[in-house]
Amino acid sequence: MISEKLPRLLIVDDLFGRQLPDGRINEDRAHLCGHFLLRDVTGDESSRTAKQIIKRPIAEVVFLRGQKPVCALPGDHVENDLEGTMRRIREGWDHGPDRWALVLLDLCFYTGRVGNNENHPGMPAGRSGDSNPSSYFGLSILESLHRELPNLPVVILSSKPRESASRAYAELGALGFLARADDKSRDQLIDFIWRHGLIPDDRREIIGTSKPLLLALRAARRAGADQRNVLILGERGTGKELLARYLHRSGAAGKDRPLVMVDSGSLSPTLYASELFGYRRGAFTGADRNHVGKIAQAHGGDLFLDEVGNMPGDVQAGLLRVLEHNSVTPLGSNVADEANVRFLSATNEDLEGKAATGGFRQDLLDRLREGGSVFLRPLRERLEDLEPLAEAFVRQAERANPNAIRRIIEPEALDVLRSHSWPGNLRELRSCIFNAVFNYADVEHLMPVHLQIDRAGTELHVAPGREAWPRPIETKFDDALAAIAGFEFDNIRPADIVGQLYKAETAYAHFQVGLLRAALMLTRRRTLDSPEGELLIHPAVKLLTGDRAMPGSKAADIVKRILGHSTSVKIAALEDPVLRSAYEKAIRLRPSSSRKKRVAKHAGGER
Amino acid sequence: MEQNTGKFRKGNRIQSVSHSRQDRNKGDRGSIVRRPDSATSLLGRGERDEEVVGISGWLVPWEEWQHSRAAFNHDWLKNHYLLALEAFLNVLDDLVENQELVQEFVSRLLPEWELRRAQVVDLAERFAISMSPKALFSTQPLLNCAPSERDCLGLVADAIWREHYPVQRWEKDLREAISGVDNAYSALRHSLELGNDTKTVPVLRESRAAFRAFRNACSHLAQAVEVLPGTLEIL
Repeated sequence: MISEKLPRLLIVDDLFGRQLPDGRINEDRAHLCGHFLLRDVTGDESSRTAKQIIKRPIAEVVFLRGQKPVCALPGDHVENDLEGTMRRIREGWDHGPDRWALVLLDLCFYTGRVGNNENHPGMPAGRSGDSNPSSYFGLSILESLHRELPNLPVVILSSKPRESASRAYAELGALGFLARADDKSRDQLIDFIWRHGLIPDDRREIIGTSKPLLLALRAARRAGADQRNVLILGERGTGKELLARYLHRSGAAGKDRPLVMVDSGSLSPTLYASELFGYRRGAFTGADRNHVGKIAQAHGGDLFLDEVGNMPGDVQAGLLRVLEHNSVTPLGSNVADEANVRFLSATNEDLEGKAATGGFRQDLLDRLREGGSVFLRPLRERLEDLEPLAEAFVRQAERANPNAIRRIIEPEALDVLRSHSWPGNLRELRSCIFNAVFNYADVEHLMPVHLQIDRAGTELHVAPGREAWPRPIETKFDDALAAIAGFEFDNIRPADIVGQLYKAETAYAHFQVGLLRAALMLTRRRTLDSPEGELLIHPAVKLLTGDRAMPGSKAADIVKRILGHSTSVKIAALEDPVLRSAYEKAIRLRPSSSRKKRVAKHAGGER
Repeated sequence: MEQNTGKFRKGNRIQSVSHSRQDRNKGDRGSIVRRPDSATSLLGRGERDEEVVGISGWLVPWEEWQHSRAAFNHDWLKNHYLLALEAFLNVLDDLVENQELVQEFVSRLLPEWELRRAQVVDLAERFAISMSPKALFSTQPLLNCAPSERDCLGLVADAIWREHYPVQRWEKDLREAISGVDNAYSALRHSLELGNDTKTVPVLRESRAAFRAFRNACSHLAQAVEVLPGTLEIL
């Protein structure tokens, strides 16, 4: 169930995270690891010297005390350390393959003076508020995590009664509660890792450890846990079919169930119904024998409908009947066959929009996504996965070409790959790598010169069938606009955005700052005295707004407003020499009222 | 130990509690107990340091009982003893290799129950006295009532409390859970005595069922202690 690379857990707990002096082993921690079957990779003295071997660990674990000092002696005072705790959690969340799969968070942290505690050396006696559920330090950490890292999966690990703070930790986004000393807690932890943890594909059919991918995999596992239909969304080439296969095998009942694939795009409208529903001999001209349809083949299992948006209207009506009655009637037959099928559908179209304009049946769409939708992010939004993907494709290409020798991907080539926006996503990347390996079979180093990533040409070259149509050249700016305009709020839980809309505003402010900078650079006036170009705010703002008649004073106001959106935006922007220069010009042109007064006063004094 | 002042300090909690209970009968501030000094305590975390104490450095009976419970159930039983037991069972199941634990479990860790048993027995005995609202009449401000009123109202409060909550069942369940651990412990000890060497995994494995039964009994005890109320309910 869990991949070869063990998921990495973080346990924030005062008792198990503490270190003991003189290289002594934290016995409680060793027992906890022995109980849950966790491999301690904290890296402190206790984890290095422990002689315990977990034979079949379910996960790696790093322990964090959440307090300072980490190693306390009798007489020392131990205090909670929210800032240090958050810093450590951030470090392990931002960086690739060893990212926290799950954080287990204690509720009650004891502070104060350390006495001679025989059971738990180095533990303080505790202060009155420590064990008060309303002021648990664990809840303070959880609140900060919820605000700053809302996607980080957190489960409470405590020996306190769960009801003591159940409402508080649920409100702050904790995903569950794990009792420490319970004979069922190990199975429960495995279940939590599976359901809530951010873990890669154990079979490595889907490659990558980026957050967007891991979130999609988690959504797929959750959706796959029951037998309801799931809709997979994503641009072409993002790996929707692979995700459907993952979803199929992730289900508890997925082991021996059939998975039948239907590429709706490859079926003509006339063939669609007969392929899907099957037919009896004589149903139509050429039907010289009975044919079992895809739905009947998938009975008791899953049916993957790729490009479901291409489904003809009459087939949509037939499929809706199948979904309503759990039975399918082959063409030319009056007898319905049982069809207990889960539909995994995929599309790169805006089916909601299509349904709104009558291009797709809304009732069918609702049926096809009753178990939820899973969105696969485009490659440009998970560039963290580009290197392992490129590596995997190089090895596949080398295996596919007996003449190719093994090569390493040079950093310069990776830089080139990262700078591309990959409108064809993984399929385009794969093709690009395969071309490089096949065209340059006899080199040991994959260099930029081997990569053909001319956008339009690559697309024409790599995209098979219907996807080979030429399309307008896209730019990163187009991608950004599409991402902003197409962002769907439908699947966001209210808890994810409550109190966070200011972040969207700040992000938009940064986006505007970037636009302004681009416009400033584009409208520089090059002269002999200034070969790099003089920055001009007036033409830059005119370019931005499209308002050719805009007066210079208004342009200055706009620059001030964009750069002065908030203190954080202003500080970040003014670190950039281009933006600082523009801001200074704008201030000179349109001084603020207080500045005007100062200038007037100064001028009066001179008089 | 300050035996004549109705308060205790330092040293063994069980002895201290015993004195404090005697002292409570003496009236005055007999029901308010001085916090134990954690620096010299046997129990550790459950006994909070001076910053814990609510009223001028004195613990009221229900706080003192809660701290004793935390020391036994949270600090020792759940976070120390049961975890060690679970890890040890995984050694027996060949999921974990830990020679140190094998060497020490039967001789050092397992007998801790014999040392701690008295604490939970004491918790059971003191539960109704400490957590009944009757205890309010032995502390300020109700301590100012006339003695006859205190006695009378205290009895009424206690009767209503017992009417509203399954106090007898809680006490009975706890006593049964304690004897369940006792029985499982005896059976385990008996099973271990049959083996000639309690420091090798194959021999210990022969007592696996007894270890598991003992773990289950301890787990049941932890639940029986946990289910008791965490606050003094004023009806």
